[in-house]
Amino acid sequence: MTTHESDPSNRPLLEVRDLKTQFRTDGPPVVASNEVSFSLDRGETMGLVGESGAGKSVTARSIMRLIDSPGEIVGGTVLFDGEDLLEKSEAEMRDIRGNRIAMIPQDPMSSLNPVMTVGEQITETIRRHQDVSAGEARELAIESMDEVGIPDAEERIDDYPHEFSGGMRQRVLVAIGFSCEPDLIMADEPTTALDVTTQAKILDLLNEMQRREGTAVLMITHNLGVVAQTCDHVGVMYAGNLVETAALDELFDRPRHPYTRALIDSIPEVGADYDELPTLEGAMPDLGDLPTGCHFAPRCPHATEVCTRDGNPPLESVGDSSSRAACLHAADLDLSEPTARESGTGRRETDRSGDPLFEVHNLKKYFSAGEGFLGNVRLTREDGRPTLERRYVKAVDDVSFDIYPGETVGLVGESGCGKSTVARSALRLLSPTDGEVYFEGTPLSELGSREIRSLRREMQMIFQDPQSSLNPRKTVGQIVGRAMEKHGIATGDEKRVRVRDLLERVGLARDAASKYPHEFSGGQQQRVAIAHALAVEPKLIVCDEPVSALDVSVQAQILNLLNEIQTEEDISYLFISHNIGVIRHICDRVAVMYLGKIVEFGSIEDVFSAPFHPYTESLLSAVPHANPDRETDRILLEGSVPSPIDPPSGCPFQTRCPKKIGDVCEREEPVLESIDEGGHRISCHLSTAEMSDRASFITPSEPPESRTADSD
Amino acid sequence: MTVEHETRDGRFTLTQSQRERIARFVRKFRNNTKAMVGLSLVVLLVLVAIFAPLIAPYNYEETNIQVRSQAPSAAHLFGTDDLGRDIFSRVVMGSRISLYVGFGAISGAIVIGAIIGVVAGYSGGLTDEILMRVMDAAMAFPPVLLALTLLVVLGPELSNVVIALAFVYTPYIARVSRSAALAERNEAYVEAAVARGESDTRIIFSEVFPNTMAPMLVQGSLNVSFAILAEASLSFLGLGAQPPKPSWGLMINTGRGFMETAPWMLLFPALAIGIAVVGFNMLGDGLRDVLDPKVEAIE
Repeated sequence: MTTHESDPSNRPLLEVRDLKTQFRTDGPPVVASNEVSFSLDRGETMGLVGESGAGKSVTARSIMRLIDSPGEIVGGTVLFDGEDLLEKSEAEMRDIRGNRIAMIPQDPMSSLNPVMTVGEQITETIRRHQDVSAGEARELAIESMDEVGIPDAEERIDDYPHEFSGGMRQRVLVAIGFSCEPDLIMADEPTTALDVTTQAKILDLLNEMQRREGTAVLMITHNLGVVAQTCDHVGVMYAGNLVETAALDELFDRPRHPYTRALIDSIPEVGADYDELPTLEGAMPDLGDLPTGCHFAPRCPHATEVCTRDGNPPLESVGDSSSRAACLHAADLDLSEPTARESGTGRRETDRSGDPLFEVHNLKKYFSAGEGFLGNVRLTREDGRPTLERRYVKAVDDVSFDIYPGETVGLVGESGCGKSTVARSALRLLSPTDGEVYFEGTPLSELGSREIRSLRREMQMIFQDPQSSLNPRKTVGQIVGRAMEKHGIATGDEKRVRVRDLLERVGLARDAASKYPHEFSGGQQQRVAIAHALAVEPKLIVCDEPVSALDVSVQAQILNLLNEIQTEEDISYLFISHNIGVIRHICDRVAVMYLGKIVEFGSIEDVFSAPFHPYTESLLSAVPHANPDRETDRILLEGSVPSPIDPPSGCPFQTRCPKKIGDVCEREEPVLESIDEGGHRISCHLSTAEMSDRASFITPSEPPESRTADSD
Repeated sequence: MTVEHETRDGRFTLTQSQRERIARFVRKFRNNTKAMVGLSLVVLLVLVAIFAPLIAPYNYEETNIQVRSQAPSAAHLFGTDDLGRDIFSRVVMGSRISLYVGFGAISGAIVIGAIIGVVAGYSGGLTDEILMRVMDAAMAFPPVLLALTLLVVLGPELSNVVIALAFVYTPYIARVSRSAALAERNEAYVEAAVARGESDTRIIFSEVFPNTMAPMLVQGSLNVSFAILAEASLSFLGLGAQPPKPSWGLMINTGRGFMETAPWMLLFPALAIGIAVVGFNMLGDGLRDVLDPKVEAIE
């Protein structure tokens, strides 16, 4: 092991000064990281937050000198343990990377080499930097796998990455990161690709490893909840600049930069009340076309004329606090209160006395477990006799729910639970294996394909990735207009006028009609997709993760838009999301799915308060809150979701359930049954009392005075 | 920033966006040496073909016993052949045959291949399986051999060469367009179109097809050079253009017998083929670079 005895106690481990990285383009260079300065002490965790394109990753990669052409570091110093990394030769950097500064990448699925065993990948790093024999390296690798909580490390070391689940692969990456006992770990969105229950486990692991090894961590994330859970210090980035640095509590209690305030406010919190989300207008400016003056000024609610005139303000200390902010008005603004939430109408009461608009009865969708005609046939031995068995992936297994006019029903669950399949089967984009779907009382299975096609006018869909859902070769006007034409709503000049009206309605300029999708930002593209769905005046819109590809400030805008449209047009939504805060914010009723089944269904209040299905409870408890004061005791689930080819016997959740009562859970499949008159249904063998350890996740932990301020 | 472009007649005439798109394509194309060299050669060839009667100093069919097998000179730039015909004139006129066959065959191949490919790629399943296995079977034959067989059936004539080569190159186009369609099929805009109630036919031709054109153009322009070469081979073998048509392949075949005494009879048509093949190849290669979305992303 290398020794760094010369360490003066007060010298920070990492000190970045005026780091500037830019990318060459046809025009003037684009500055992705603009004179960023911060420092990080040994053993500390600093978060770098910001929306996509803010320059977080570029800054981190610049520190490790991992910038490829056409990017280049053009200025500043990066003092790591007193030495300037920017002065080092490439060979010296190679000795530092992975050894003294390690990186934990974002995507556990593509960051491990599929043709090497995980053991080889860990020992590779160890042997590159440490003078040990192959045998010793293997011992060290097993040890490090043990430390990151991979069970049976000794047996699993020779397994290939595909034999591990996503969470376990991320653990392997953590093990590789920590294998050489680095001084600094850079974690680039380490949990973004993971489900919320897995995320909770990985964050706990990172916290624990960091405490044990005394490693400093630079945590790059867009999720303020993750920051609140892991960091000591936070740096907020916007358009390539660090706009605020502060201690964690300080940042959340009293942000000094208006952008930080806006970022915190636009997160739909699990505990917060149902109202309009305060939003920032617009989106982050294009780095190639930055506004003069403060880069944030065009979106800033507190901007004055000075802000647009005097260039981008530098990062300076504010008053006597430890915070630094790049805002001319930082000293005069008091941003400690959340922006007054525009008092909406409160939670609307949906009238459920009439007939439901949309009903799903016992919907099943099985996919063949292999490719081709015989791909899913498997030879098994039953009672000593070999038998052929057809295997299916039970993506959706016996799901029933209904949607009333003007209502939003949410489907929430982790990836692979079948929520998207439910939506697609319900809309007949996939043909269901069994079960029936009724639209205004008409069973869809009795309709021919032509009738289904004309029924599409009533049911529309908004997709997750707006970039992919808009045909790149067509103008926005053609895309939106086509829907009107198809269903004979408007043609010719009338169509053109209506397209423009509609674009204006969703918050775009009228001339957007003549542009191509790629000319818009992600949020604007999603607005086009919403306009496309609205063009045929549907009664039901299925929203499949409509905001999960968007930044939080844009996400808030889209959620508000969807709410607004619903209030005006009385449209029903089937809203699919893995983000519990978003579900909590937008839905009237919600179905929690696990392994192709609904385990709990009811109104938001019902589902988010006792009694809970054990899965709902652990799911809700795992959500990281963007509030460092708020401690929820997490219920961490053992293991990972079982394969839907071979679901567990009895209750699908029994293999991981922390409240399993024994045999009955393994033998009998619980029924989704009402537990009160309000239509709250839970599928569990436990009694309601046993499911009610805690009261509710809704109760806001806000101090009382801020609540009275709100209600005024 | 954004200017209000309310067009007078209220139609969606594409203004700035389209111009920007074209401008960006042109800029990238210009910066690509390969594409520019290729384009210059192809343009040169096309111009020669168009103005051939004006460029050619002699009639390509006119024999002149007095000037048999003469070496290149001021009067006959490329020399003369065994019948005293001016080789320069013949090479110039021959460009028409090569381009006619090249463009004709590949246009045909693109029309048929694209339909087969897009339908197969979008439909998947059994349709895909059947269509593509047929294409694979056609591809299993060496192109020239297959074209030869077809020509034996159809009869040795230039228009038949076009038909035969169109048939031969269809599978290559189909394959490329199928894989492009396969990728597009998984884009959400296709699902959005289904959710909007569009028919399969409309989705295939109006939504998917325009997005598969870029790789097809690249494959097409590469295949033009193969078709030109194939025509030369077929004519060389006597099943393509018939004498006295000034096909380059045919000229090489005739020149073969005089290789030692009059090498120019063989050299200049061969050079012409070389230029045509290199030109279309470089154009295709360059187009691939220019149209590659990954290159665009870096920009």
